[in-house]
Amino acid sequence: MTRRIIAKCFDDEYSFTIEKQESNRFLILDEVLGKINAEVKYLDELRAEVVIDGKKYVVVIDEDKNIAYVNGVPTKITVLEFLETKATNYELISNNRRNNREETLGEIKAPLSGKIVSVKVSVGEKVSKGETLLIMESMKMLNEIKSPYDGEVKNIFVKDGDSVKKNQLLLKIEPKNTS
Amino acid sequence: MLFNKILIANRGEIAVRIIRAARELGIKTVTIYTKEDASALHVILSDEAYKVSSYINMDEIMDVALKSKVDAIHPGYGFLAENPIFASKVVKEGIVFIGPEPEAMVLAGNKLESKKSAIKADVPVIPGPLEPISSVKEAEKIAEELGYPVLLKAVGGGGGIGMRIVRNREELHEYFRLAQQEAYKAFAIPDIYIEKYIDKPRHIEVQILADNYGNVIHLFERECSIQRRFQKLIEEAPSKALMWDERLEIANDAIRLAEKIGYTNVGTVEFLYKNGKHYFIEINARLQVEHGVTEMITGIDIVKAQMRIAADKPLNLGQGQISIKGWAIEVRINAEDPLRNFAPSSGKIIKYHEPGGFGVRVDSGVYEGYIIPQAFNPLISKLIVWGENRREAIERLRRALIEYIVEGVRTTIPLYKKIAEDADFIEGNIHTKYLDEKLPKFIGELSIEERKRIIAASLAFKIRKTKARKSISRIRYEEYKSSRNLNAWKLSTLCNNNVY
Repeated sequence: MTRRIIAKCFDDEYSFTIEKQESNRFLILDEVLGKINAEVKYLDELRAEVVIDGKKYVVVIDEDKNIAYVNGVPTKITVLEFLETKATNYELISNNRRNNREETLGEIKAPLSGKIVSVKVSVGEKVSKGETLLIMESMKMLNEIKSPYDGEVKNIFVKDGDSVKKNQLLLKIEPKNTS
Repeated sequence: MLFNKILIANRGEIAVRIIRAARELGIKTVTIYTKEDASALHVILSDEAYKVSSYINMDEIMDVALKSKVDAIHPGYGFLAENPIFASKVVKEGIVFIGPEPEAMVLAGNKLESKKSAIKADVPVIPGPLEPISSVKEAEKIAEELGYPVLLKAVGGGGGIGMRIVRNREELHEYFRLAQQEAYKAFAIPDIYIEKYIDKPRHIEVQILADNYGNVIHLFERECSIQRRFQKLIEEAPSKALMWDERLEIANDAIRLAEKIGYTNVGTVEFLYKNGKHYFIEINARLQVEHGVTEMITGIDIVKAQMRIAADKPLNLGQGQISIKGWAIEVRINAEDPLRNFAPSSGKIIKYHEPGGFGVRVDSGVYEGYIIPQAFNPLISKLIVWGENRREAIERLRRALIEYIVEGVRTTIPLYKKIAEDADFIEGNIHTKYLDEKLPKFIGELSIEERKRIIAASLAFKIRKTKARKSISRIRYEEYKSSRNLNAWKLSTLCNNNVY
């Protein structure tokens, strides 16, 4: 039985499949690393030893903080597990995909975490491609966030002085000639 | 004795470094700490410690100094180290400030005035006007004269703030005001000036010791070309770039400048170096983070020298007694995640083991069990290695990095392991853009290891067999994938069932 694992670590998403072999051996198919053999030894409720390509990884799970320490490296991680099924509703997927695109089109997100120094536009304002929407500060540098298209400012979710996380929605623009 | 008791107005590894020098000289130490730092190493190691609201609250710090009856204050680096107002306050209370005169700090803090002094001292500088630029129009004219690329710099500058490389007219328009804003925010002086941009130079700086009797000597140079966003990460001494005649020329330029401005105590004169030419960039009127590499090759304790000078003693050695022995390299161990744009990594140090052995020095401000607070500079320690020559120093660096165990937080150690294996680093082919150029390659290599760690963690999570697993399995992968914007309720359900 093959399972699909999605591991979310900090802001990144890792996806791979695992297939249980005999006893505690697993065959892993990873997007980047390809085929990997792994052997898992569960030490107790919160600790396991995983051998990947001959290298040992000791994993200690800290339940309170949603953190696994892998050879001591703190890894904030959420693991989702799915049954890999053959039946796929293509209709539904494409629908959802389109909805997604409409939702995300016009969303301006923070490229890095930081602080909003000044919002240069207001709701209802017409903006043109390349125009500065806001200025944010991260790692002591000021960065201009520019409009990727011509359009109108629909919503602004931040104000001067706000701290923002990476990928946080900053403002929404309705692009001209939306199809 | 130089002093009976001193106050160290700093924290972390540098506070510990100063405590060590003081204790060896028989001087008692007083430290300060904020609420985040109650269990910090400097608090544990000092003779007395007092709580303050912040490391830059001058009034509170002066209160502590008077209450604990210290003879002198050492500011370390950062915080109040280059604040002339603080230095003046200290002196006014009859307490010795272990550092240069306030006037020297004012001069060093003003990059254009420093540049003018350098010219007066016949020290080469980077081409560019000696006055701040008032308008974009004026900037445009000057940039055209100098020829692109040019560098915008803040008059109040330092640490890369307000600094922008400008490659053409459009970028100049774009960056000029931003640089002004950045400069104003950081230094309360919006003034910007322009210099010709020197592409891929090496960063070379000269350590100066100057007593109150007009004696100025140098302890040769350090090279700090391995930087990220103008922040130094690896420093070494001496520099592989310099021939002996160049080395002496740069060092003598630094001395001439220090003499010209009547500089006292310890300081650093920084230069850029390219194609056999060096250009003055700034004076650092303080003890620097990377002073340790110079100590390793000269055998001189710079912090003790600082205290001796501050106690009005003449220098106890002449230039002729100073020579270079071997090679030293320092790596700054930062609690930062190189894989995630160097995001700070705070938390508890679960396991901690420092490397040791011949030629290895660790100046650290942490210990096993210590919780790294979020509030401060991410520097947790400095690993400094010494070798008979550069090759041996690098071999020792690699060995020491393998021994260095820091668990519980992410650090820059894995990145330094990659650099220590890099052919260009080993050959000494480095410049200030070296890391920018190499980082994608290093990160690529490091992220393979990260992937394996994540796979290992995911497999380990399988031991947490909860009932919730069933409900998760019911959500098909395709559904999850296709609905990236799962609504908040759904997502939290998933997460709650999956609290590991």
